[in-house]
Amino acid sequence: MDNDNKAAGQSNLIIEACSNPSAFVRLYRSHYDAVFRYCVHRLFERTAAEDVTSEVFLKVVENIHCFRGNEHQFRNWLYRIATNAVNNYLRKTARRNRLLKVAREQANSQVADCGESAEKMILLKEAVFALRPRYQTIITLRFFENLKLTEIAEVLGSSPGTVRSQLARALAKLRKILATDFTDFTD
Amino acid sequence: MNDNERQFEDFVSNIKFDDTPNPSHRDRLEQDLLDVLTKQPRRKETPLKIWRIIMKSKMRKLVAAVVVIAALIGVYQFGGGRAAFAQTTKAVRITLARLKEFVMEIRTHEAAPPPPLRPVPQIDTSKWSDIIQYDLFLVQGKQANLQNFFEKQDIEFTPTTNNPNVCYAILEPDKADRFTEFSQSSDELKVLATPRLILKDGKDAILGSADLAGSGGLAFAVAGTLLDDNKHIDLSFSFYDGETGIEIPSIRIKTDEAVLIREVKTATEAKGDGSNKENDIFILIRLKVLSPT
Repeated sequence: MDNDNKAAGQSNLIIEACSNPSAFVRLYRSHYDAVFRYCVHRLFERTAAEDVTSEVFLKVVENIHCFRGNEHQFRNWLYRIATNAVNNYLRKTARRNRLLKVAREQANSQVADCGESAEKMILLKEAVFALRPRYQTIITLRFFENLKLTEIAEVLGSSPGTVRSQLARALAKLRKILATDFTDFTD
Repeated sequence: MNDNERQFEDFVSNIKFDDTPNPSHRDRLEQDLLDVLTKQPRRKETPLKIWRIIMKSKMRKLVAAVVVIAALIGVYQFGGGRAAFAQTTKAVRITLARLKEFVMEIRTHEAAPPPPLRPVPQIDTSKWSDIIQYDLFLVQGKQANLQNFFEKQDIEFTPTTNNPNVCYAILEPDKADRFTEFSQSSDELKVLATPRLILKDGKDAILGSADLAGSGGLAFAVAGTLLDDNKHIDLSFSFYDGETGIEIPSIRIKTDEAVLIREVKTATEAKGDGSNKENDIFILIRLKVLSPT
């Protein structure tokens, strides 16, 4: 019952947020962290993530009056906007190549100083950026945002079966890339 | 969760992301958003709704993409440049709500005097295996003014399956010639445009536009495929005039024949002042298979 009431309250909040600035602020504050984290996990960089987060919420302001749905759908909508914004960002700025280059340089210079976590981070960054944007999105939503396959499917507008097979393909590719650099991924 | 997933989860579990949100960015953005929220006027929902309708289905997206590409090709093929593009707006408005913004942008650059027509680009057709030349002849006028002519020439129309107001007839070359002569000499009929298009066999569709005397534009696409016997063409045709959309797939004609398409405007489309100013539309398509140059 509490969950139902909470969901109804959030749905009302979304409707109110179209015209009421304080309702919008509450809605924004309750989702800012999730969107920012998703952007960091996709871009591996704070500054870029802040830029894209700003873009996402500007899009929300512009289009919230068109949104029809509940809290759960609103969260998926945000992820969808964020996914598009991240993909645009990567495409527009040709950031992928630059980040890869930076990652390589960092790998050479910093690994010795930063320990295993940093080394893994750099390798992960290289490996994830080598994937297609859609696979990157699925990996991030699944392993960093802990979304279920059905929820990822809703964000991407696909069927859970498609997402499952794409996740398997993405993991197989990641495994192949990471196995060359990291012993955890060798059989 | 399978082994691959478990292994990857283990791999990422001890990676420490610097993902703690920065409160100053959050507050700054909040202020920016509030500024935008209070300043922005309420937007109309219609264009977004249409856009959503298109984007929800893969097939609709594909159709919309084809129309955009075809529209661009059509504009270049007709040599009408920006003016022709602007006239296309009405015809494609349902499918392409966002195209309006683009067209508006073009219009803002179109201060008087009007820009010169864009020259038709030279296309190197030497590598094409088969080339089909389309001579289109667009006429506007009342069906009643042509009724006698059709009867005298023994031209019979076949109705299309999905729109009773649209029908087509296959004409021998001499009848097609007589139709163009009659249209040009009649005071009751208005010849709108006579573009010529040269396209690769089977590969390209085109979409063009014409000024329908105050009633907007007409978007149309045509694609012909030369059959193996080299004597017949399989022709597909579709058009949209802002109100009526029609597709005529697969009309088989001889290479020297023409197709005449007729759209009769019904009384329900009459103007508010009681007069029916909407004229019927006739589109004659004559084809010619050219040898590669």
